Amino acid sequence: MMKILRLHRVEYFVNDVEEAEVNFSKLLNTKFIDHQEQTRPFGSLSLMNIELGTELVAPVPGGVLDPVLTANGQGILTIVYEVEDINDTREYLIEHGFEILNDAVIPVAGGEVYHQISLTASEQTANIVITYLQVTQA
Amino acid sequence: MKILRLHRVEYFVNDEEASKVTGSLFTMDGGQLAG
Repeated sequence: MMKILRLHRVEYFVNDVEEAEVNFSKLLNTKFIDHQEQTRPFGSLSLMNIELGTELVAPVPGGVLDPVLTANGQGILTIVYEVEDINDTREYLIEHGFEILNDAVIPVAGGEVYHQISLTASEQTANIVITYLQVTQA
Repeated sequence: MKILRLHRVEYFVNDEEASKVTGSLFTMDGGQLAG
């Protein structure tokens, strides 16, 4: 059975991650940790502040997310919930007939590994890409 | 200004039926459905 632990983060999809950092640092009066080196192979340039549940994501030029930004523009990329066990979650989602968009293992800065499953945005998900995450240590 | 935390996400949904379906995705209070 899937168990959700908490709302982990919102991913803001932005044109330029450096510009977004300037804006969001002011909007939230905080700083972000640079994960770009770790997330670049997955087509995203990412800055995070997990304490405030916020990630800024820009596409790697020419990468897999680039056409998504061109098509949709800036906005919410995904809402991420932390789960107890990603394998139980995968089973639960398949069992309930939800369409999996992406199933990835992403090492992030600081030695943690994000095991993430995202669902295709649909009427059922209020047109939002919902992501499930289990955090482990590398 | 000091932000304490991300409090909730409000999903904007068409109707009650849609929120019932979406609600089945979650097994505890990880977000909020608004409609």
